[in-house]
Amino acid sequence: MNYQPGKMGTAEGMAIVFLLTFPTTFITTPATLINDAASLGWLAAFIHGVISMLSLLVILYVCKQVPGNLFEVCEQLLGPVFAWLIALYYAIAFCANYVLLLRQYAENTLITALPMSEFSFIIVAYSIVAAILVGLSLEGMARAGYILLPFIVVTLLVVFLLLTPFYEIYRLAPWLGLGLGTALFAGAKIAGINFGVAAVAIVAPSFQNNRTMCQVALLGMGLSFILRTMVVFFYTMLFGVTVGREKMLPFFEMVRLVYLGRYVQRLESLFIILWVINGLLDLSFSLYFALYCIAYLGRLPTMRPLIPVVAILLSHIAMIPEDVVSAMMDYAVIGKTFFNVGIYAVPVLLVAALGWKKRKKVKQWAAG
Amino acid sequence: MGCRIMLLVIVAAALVTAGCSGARETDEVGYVIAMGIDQGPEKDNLNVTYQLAIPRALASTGSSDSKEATEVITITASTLVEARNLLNTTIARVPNLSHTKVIVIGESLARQGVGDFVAPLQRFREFRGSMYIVVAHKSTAEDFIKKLIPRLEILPSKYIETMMLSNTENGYYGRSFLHDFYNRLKGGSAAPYATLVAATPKTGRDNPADTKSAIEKTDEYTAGNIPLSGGDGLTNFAGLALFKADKMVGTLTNEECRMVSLLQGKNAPTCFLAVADPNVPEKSVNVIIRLGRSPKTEMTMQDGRFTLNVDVMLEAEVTSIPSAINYEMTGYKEQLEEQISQVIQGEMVNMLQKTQPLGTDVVGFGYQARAMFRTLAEWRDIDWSDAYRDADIHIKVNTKIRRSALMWQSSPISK
Amino acid sequence: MGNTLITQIYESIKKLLIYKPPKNPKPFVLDEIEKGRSDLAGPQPQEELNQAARELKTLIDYSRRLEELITKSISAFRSNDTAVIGRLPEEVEALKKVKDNTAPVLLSYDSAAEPLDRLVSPLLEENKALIDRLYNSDINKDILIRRFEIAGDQPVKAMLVFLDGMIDKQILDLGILQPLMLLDTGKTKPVGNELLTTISENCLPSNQTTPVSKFKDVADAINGGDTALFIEGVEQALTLSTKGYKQRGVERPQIEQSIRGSQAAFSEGLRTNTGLLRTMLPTNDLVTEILMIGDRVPQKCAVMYLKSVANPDLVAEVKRRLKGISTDYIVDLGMLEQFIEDHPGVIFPQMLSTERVDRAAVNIAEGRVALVYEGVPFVHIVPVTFFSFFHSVEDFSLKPPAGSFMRLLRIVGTLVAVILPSMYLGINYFHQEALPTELALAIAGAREKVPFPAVVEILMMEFSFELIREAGLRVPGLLGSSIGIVGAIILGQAAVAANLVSPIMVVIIAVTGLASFSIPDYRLAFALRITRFAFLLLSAMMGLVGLSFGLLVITVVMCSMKSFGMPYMTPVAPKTMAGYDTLIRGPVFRQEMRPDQLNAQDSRRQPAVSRKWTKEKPVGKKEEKE
Repeated sequence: MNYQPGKMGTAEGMAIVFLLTFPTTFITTPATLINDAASLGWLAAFIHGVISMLSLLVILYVCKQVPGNLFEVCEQLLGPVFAWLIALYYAIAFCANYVLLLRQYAENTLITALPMSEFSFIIVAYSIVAAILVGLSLEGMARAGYILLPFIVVTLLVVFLLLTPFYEIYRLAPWLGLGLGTALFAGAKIAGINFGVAAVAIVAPSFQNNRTMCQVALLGMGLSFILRTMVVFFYTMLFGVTVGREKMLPFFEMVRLVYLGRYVQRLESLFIILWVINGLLDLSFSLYFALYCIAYLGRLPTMRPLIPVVAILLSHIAMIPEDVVSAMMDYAVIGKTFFNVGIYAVPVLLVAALGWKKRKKVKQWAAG
Repeated sequence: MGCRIMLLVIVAAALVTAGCSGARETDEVGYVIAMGIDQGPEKDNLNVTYQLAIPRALASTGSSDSKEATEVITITASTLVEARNLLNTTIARVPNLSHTKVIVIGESLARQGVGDFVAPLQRFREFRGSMYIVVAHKSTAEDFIKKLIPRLEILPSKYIETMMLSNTENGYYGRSFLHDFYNRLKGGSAAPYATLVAATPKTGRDNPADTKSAIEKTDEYTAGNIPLSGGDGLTNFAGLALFKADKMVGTLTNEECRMVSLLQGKNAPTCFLAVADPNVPEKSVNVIIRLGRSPKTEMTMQDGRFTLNVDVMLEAEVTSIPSAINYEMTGYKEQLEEQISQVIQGEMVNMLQKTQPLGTDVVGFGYQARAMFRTLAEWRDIDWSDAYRDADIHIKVNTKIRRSALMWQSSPISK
Repeated sequence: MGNTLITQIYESIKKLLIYKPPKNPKPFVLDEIEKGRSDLAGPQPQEELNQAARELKTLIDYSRRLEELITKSISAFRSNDTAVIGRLPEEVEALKKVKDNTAPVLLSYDSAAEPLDRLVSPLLEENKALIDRLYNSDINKDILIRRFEIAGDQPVKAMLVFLDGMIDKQILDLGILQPLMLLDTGKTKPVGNELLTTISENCLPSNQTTPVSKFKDVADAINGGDTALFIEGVEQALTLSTKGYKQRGVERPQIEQSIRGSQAAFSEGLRTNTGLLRTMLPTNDLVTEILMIGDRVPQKCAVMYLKSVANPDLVAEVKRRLKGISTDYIVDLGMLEQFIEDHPGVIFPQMLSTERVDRAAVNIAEGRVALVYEGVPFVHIVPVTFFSFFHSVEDFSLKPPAGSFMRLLRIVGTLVAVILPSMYLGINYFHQEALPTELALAIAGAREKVPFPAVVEILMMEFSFELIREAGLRVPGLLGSSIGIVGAIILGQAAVAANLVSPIMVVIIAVTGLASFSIPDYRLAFALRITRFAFLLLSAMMGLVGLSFGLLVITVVMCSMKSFGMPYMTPVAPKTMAGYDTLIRGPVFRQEMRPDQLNAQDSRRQPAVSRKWTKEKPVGKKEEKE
């Protein structure tokens, strides 16, 4: 496709969706999936990816009928009050995502990379860099994310290849785990952690047309949940259910296990670069969209003055949970309850309102 | 502009005064390459032995004597972490355990139970799943580590790594990562095992661990009992230590260990075997055996009792026939094949007879058993080690001689 | 007391004994200028008096000419010279025109204006006075004024004004003075402006003649090396092209050397450079627009592009930015670049700077715009992407595998040059478990005797490497390279032997230095050097986490940059059509489209089948019919 200045294309959209949904794989999500669904954890990952993709496609269908970004669509279909509430919901959701992820990422950095550093220093460093990235443009972040995508995919595939001597296919047995229903239900419950897909609809005017956005939904979300399914699948084959559910950082443990010979071992420090960049982009996107929603709520002309203020505030909130395990549990709980509203309720509301409006229009024609 | 400069100065000051966040110079770190855990003099104490590497040994200008390459320190403490703390009282550098290659556990401690300190090992980030776990047979870990002075390498770490990587050459000792040990410890589908090591005394010690049947020609040993001599005492690796739950319950000899690895499907490309000549029982025929394909296992379950049928196919290459009988030709070939199959099958049955009463499934049949159940709940109802004890296992070995090295027939020696 | 003996003796003893410091004048101190000094340029307090003096002088000139005319007409009428009488009305007309010009209002307006704003006057004396004022000819010995008379029935007074050293004396003598003074066409010459046209069309074999009316244009022409011809009675001057100043010739490229490809490099003269580009692109589509940049000392800048290919918005934007600069004097194209680029705060270069003619020609043919500046042997190409800095000219002549291999090597070299020291530092300090045990112990053993922390070691070695590099630039000629090599070897060896640094550090710094020489563009290498130091500091503080922070921020900064409206990281970042020429070079016959991001007027440069000969029958014996 040709390049059009000032608008974002499939590549950037793909990067946005991928980087808002995938980096949670680098923290505890695979282990929680295995905890809920035993050896069918990969199926749960698959299900929740599919659900998120469908949710986004429904929202995009509504956006095709009504122009504008998500909030303007809500204003037209549901009325200004509801639109304001939905914007408020998304602002809080992105802020919560940012806060909890920041906490978990900082703790992970402490565990894996810099065990002896000061915890608040790491949080401040992450916040500063995220604020700097948000101050540079969204296109810059999206394009940098797009440059990074092949590296992520290739690295993951290389890791899977290098771990071949350690796989034991029978750790996935008994094949039905805790039961098919449990797995599907677990997947559906946790679909909320992908609520960030709505970001595509929030900046809809920046994309070229609706077809681009649908492509973004398919490619970006598709890549994200397929990779996550693969990670959970291989992780189960490596560690099994009993051991796998203990681990705090499944991916890190996977990479630690690489041992092919005297020289191909201990590669995990080189992957630090990869997942720090991933996590930082996830944080930056969350911060950007939170600020975007806040700017819409207050009808502000620009969000640049808010960046340092909100970054400082949110980094302080990130230090509130007392320990990392409670932060992790909070994230899982919020993922199952609050974020689910974005994945399930918003598309349903929009489709219902669209249907109502169409019926009203038909009635008008029929009447007169 | 002044505002920006002030902001920059504040941020720079904050970053600089935040400290190094744990930066360690190379001469502040002490690398531990082997760790040994024994039972202490009192009941609840542990004797922890650390072997630290001296970096000067590997520097280009330093001496390259393996005796001066490491430093061994033993500490008595109540827990592992206390021992590490106490290590820091005598070593100026901060001990870094991420290069530890091997954890040696003394046999007496292993028999009492390793669960207390092995299970939490995976939590501390310096311990990796790619460390090896070995059990010192009939001796202490301290003794073994003190004698761990390799001749051909400078550092013991290289010795152990190379040793473990070449275990597939022969199959006489298994290789056990901490990752596998831990998985089997918690997983419940198979029994954990560890390599058996020991140091022979100067004069060697010939202590075969098993009797031979008529057609076998080789003795079986466990570590420490092999008649090796040379130097100040050689360390050797042979056999396996079997664990049930977290206690050591038995050992396997080197031949049985080879059977375990054959049944696991691991191929040993230069696995020599000597069998008695079928026609001239005093002489032996040497072959190299390898697996033709992975052993096929069929499992059926009836009333909670498992029946397994294992089909092993071996390919052999004849390497020496002292009696000059033409075993390469048909007719004689089947005799030799039959002989080899019998030897292998006998050993495998031996191994099963040793492991089944103990209830330790070393080979890992439990993994396949999992596939026979539909949900996890059903699997958890069965206790696999009990089921293994009662299982009915039939082994069938088939050998085919494919090659005969460089000669296709032998002429007799002239009188 | 008087000049008695006692006092004399007293004075001499005093002079002997008492030390008086020698009376030296005070040393020169560069103070601020007080206002109102008489020898300064600019408005002065005696301005009105000068103005009045000028007015009077002009009137006196006019009256003198009137008097001459009256005397001439009286003598003509007395002697009944019909020829002269016939020409009288024209001269009266001319004088009347002069009188109009000397109307008081016009006079005072003209006198008050700066010499540069005035128009050329028909009076030769007036023009000479203006030239004197303009060029300070009482103290400025460069400006020369040659008065002569143009041959003909009635000789017309004229004068040539030129700058010594800038003109070609032969052209002046043979092409201008000779035909005007000696060749007499015999025709009666008209007066006024027609005289000028006649002279320039019939008499002057000079190749460029331009009539100008404003003194500003006259001054520009004279400053550029042209000669100005003033003719009595004509309100315009003629500028003739006589440039003949010495310039460096076309030499081999110093910086961008290549094994294949043309060996011509740009030189200092603007016309030489444009000429070289014209030899490479001999088409009528190539347009050269010349703009003057700089207020106090204007200098010529040429904008060259292919009219049928380049995006007209791009050209318009370039010209808009160039015209919108207001400064005293711009000496180098680098300065000009900083004035017109999008992101002057970011260290990455946003224009491609090349001294090779073929490289500039290829870029112009793709649809970009080239900026040529007088006095600078470089040409800047806009707009440009980050990946253009990795293209070298040999890529054009070698086959795709060789070209791609070289490009990949350069990219890997760049990455190594930027990241290697920080990675080493990060792993050494924070992630010792990433190294194989033998390597970790070897590094530790090698560093046992070194007293400095690793950061100080690296900074010391980097600093000395930079010093060696700078020294190699300054030492002249043959010594330069040998000092570089000898210095590096001896320094490295001695430092290791003295246990100041470890051998591993020397290896790392040497590899980094070598890798940084593989970056083809000088300014990009500089930018990456600075980022390398930033990464080093980040890595020393926070290990590989700090390094990834730095990498991410630099990538996002690069992705949000635009170079003249084109994003900096196309075609990777906004994804555009693959052009087979970015990272990997494809076969030449498959590069059918121009780079998409330039949005050129015609994006196809080859048809789909560009090797038509493959589809046709080869030459040779006719095939036998089967």
